[in-house]
Formats: sequence, C-alpha cells, structure tokens
Amino acid sequence: MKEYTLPRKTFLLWCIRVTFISILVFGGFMFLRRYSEFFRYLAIAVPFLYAVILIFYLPALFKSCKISFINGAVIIKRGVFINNCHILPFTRMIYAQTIKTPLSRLFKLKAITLKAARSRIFVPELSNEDAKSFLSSISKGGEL
Amino acid sequence: MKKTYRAHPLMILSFIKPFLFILILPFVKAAVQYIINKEINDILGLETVILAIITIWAVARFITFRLTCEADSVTVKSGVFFTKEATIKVSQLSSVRTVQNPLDMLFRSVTFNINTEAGSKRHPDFRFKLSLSDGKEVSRLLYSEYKPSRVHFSAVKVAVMAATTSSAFAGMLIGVPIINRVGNLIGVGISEMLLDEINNVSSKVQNFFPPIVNTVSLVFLLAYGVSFVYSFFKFINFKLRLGDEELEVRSGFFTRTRTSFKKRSVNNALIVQTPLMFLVRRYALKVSVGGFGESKSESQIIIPSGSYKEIKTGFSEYFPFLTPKGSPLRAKRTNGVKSRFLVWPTFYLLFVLGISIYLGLRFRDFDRLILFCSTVALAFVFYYAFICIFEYLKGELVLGENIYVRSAKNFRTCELYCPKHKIGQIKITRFWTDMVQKTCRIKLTVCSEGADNIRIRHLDNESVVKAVNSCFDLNV
Repeated sequence: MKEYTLPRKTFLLWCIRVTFISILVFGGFMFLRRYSEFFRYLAIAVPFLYAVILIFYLPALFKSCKISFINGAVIIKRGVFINNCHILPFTRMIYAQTIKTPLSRLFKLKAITLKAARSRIFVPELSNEDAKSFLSSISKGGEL
Repeated sequence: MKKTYRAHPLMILSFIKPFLFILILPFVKAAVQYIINKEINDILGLETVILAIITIWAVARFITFRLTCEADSVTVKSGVFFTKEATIKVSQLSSVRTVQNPLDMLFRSVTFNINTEAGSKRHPDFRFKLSLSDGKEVSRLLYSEYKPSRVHFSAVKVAVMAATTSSAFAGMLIGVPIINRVGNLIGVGISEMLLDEINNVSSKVQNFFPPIVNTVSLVFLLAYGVSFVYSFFKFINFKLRLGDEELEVRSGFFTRTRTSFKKRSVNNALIVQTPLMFLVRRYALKVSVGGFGESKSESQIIIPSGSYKEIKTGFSEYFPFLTPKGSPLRAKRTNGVKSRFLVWPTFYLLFVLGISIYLGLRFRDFDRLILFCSTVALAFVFYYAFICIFEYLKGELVLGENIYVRSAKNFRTCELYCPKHKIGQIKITRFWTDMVQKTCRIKLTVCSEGADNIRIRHLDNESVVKAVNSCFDLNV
C-alpha cells in the first residue's frame, strides 16, 4: 500500500483561490447594492464566510484528503461535513488527465482526473514529482 | 517510437465556429454595410475587439495543442491557461473516427475524434484537426493499415437502407433548424413561404379527405424526403474494410467519415428490421461500440441492407466470437400465452374503435378527418399486433458465454448478440399475472453509456432464474 499526501503548497493554492473568489463575490455584491439593500447585507456576510472557510473549513478539508493505492485500486477519501470515499479499480480506469492552471503552474502543482466509464474522480493538486509517480503507478496497474 | 503532431491551422476556425452566428456574421454584415454605405454600426467597435480576443485565444489554443503517439499510448495536450494532458492506452480506445467535410478537403485536413468509454455522452473524448498526411499516419499507428478484405455496398443497398430507416420526424429535426437559421440569416421568412406553398399545393389536390389531411401528408412526405436525402448522402460510398482484429467503416459523399475500431471493442451486435424494412424483407446489421458516436445510441452500421441470409452470413464472418451457444428459452406455445401477448393490441384496437365511433357521432362535420385519423391509428395497432405475434413466435433468449436475445423494440424486430461480460444489468420483472402464470419478463442492458437494451416477455420464471444463476454464477 502506498499513500500520497498533499503538499502544503496545495493548501496555499486553495487559500489563494478562495481569497480570489471572495474578492470577486464581494465586489459583485458591492456593485449590486445600488439596486437593492439586500446585496449590502450579503456583501457584509462575505468576509465572515471567508474567514470561516479559511480558518476552519480549508484546514479540515486539507487534513481529510487521503490518497492511497491498495489491492489493485486507487482510494481517495475526503470531506468535512460529508465524508466521501472513492474507490476505483485499475481495471475499470480508462485514462488519466492532468490539469494545470496558471496558479498551480506557479506552485509546481498538478491536479489529476481519473476517468472510468460513467464516472470520474478528481485528485487534488499534487506536486509535479508525486503526480508523475502517481501516473506511472497507475499505468503499471498500481505497482509501486 | 514516439512522434508528436501539431494541429492543422483549420482548427482555429473550428474554435471560432460557435461564435459564427452571434459574432462573426453580424461583424461581417456591419463591415459590408460600412464599405457600401460608409455607415458605421454602433457596436462594430465592440464586436471588433471581442472578435480579436477570440481569434487570439483560438490561435493560442491551436499553437498549444500537441498529440503524441507512442507504441502503446496516445497523449493529448491542450489548453492555454488551463492546460490539460491526457494519456490513454491504445488498448483502452474504443474507436477512432475521422471526418472530412468539403472545407477539410479544400485545406487537406481531417477532423479526428478519439473515443473511449469514459467520455461524456454524445461527444467524443477528444476532437481535433490534423493535416491529411498526419491523420493517415496516426490512424496507421493506432490501427494497423493492413486490411485484407474490402466489402463495397452498392448505392442501391444504401438507398434501400436510407428509405427504410428514414422517418418524417427525423426529417423535421434536420430540416426545421436549417430553414429557420437560413431565414434568420438572409432576413426572409422561408418557413412562412414554404407553408404557404404547401397549403397552395395541397388545396389543388382533390380527394375524399379534407384539405388539412393533404397538408399534413405533404409536410410529412417532405420531411421524410429530407431525412432520406440526408441519410443517403451520409451513407453513400459505404465501404467495409476487415482486418483480423480491426474493422473500418467508410461512408459519405460531401462529408466523408471513417471509423476504425477493434472487433473486441464491440459491446454488442444487433440485427434490426424496421417496419419499412419488413415490407421489402430487408435487415441491417449494427454494432454498438462504447463511447462512440454523437447520437443517442453508440451504434455503427456494418451492413446497411440485406436479406436475412446475407446478414447472418456477414455476422458469422465478422463476429464469429459472438456466436451464442446453449439451449434457447422461449415463451410456451399455448393459446393462453398467445392471448397474453395480444392483450394490449386488443385493448388499443377497442380503444381506437370506441374513440373513433364516439368522435364520429359527436362531431359529424369532421367525419372524414376522424376516419383518416382512425385509419392511421388502426394501422399502428395492427403493426403492434404483428410485433407481439413476432415476439410470441420468434422471441427467444440464450444465456451462455455469449448472450442472444430475439425480440422487438420500438416497433422494430431485433436480434441482440453480446458477450456475457459486457452485460451491465439484468432486470427480471413479475406482475401479478406473471405470478399466477409462473412467468416473468427479462430486460438485458449492455454495460455502456448509451448502450442497447432489450426485453423479452412471458418466459417461464423458473427456467430463467436457473439459467441466469448458472450463467452468471449467482444465487437469486
């Protein structure tokens, strides 16, 4: 059995993404407040929600992510409020796809999507070396 | 051996294509207006900027695209800001489809579709344009070019297939959007003109039935004609190339399509007969390949049209590994079972007759229209009765290493051949009548996104359960 852990840089990447999205949402609500006072209250709620996500949710989500290879299958566990456990036997996997965004490229990270008939599993950003080893293990049917 | 290919420049155009009607054509229209009248459109500036951004983005996507072929895998890399890189084993490819439309022919390019069973429904997993020479080379690398035999189907056979599989409904689906789009583009109400013309022509035809019947019949006839022409030109030049392991199908006149797949990628084979095929005693052989195609089903026609003997010979030759072995399960040949098959046709017959008589008496002024509608409905009911009789007389199920089912589906008679391991779901249903008669209905679904399913009715429950248990090592 082999386990992959997410690098600290992934957590940093998620924080940047959440910050970016929060700024966009906040800006949007601030713009819309001229049409209704309701949007002002929503805009005020955004920083609180952002703080909760950044301080409690993201660290818990980061901690919950576990990726392992066992008995000819890849197992991915994650979730804070709802725990998800995805099991994908290698025999059922059709292909894997890596995804790089400008930010993840900056941090030298890669996300992976594993595709099987009628389903897909998303593996959060791993370091480039880990992603390479992950893909090579998959191509060898889980051999390490 | 590792070789990397770049996309054909025509791919830039295919990236811009979705914006054709909302951006490019209005831009061209505004530009022409400026050249002719020296009048500048208010939004021309904005359109120019957006078009420039989209073009730059399309060029960047074209430049970053890479296809790498290795001995046992294919890697597709695409995307500008969000880079995606997928590596697929050649053994996991379900099919490769190349399409060459007139524009492709002009620029010597080809649209390449790579299909696996993992993609989204009705869309190929990867679609890109390659130059013609690169396309041929990639095809050769993925599926060896050696094809020992080649079967050519005549235009007559394709015409028979097109005539017997076309429908007015399909014709409407094809024709109506084209008419609307062209009308919008040139600013002329083509659909209104067409309807006026149809009304005009149908009013000149004098017969027993009212003019509305003529109009509707003419609309259906025209739609059927559109469907026939579309189907004919889609499948003309139908050629089948056979290798030991691979199968390649080529067809098309204006747009040429070539589909290659390994015989082992076939999920199931289907011998079908549509109502119109029944009239000319012809059948068609289709196969379902996982993840293939842009339509609801994943089927590829192998033999467009032929007698039952020709189709069976073709099937045994192309897919010998799908031949079923085992004793067949059939519905009992008793009058009781026969009457159970005919319950619904009898009910529909009485229903149609009852409704027709009621409407005829209630609305006497519309008697000819009601007579016409009743005749059409009765024709459907009688064909449905025929289908039910077919199920009773010919329906059978063989459960073994290969599964074989002969039954009817959607007004078509079908024979399904499928390897045991490709079966996704077996559903045994029993209504209270089945409980009394100790029978069941069994529905087999093939394991794929848009795969075929087939149902067979009124089989002996005990025999079915025993056969399923023994075939799939279960204990139901």
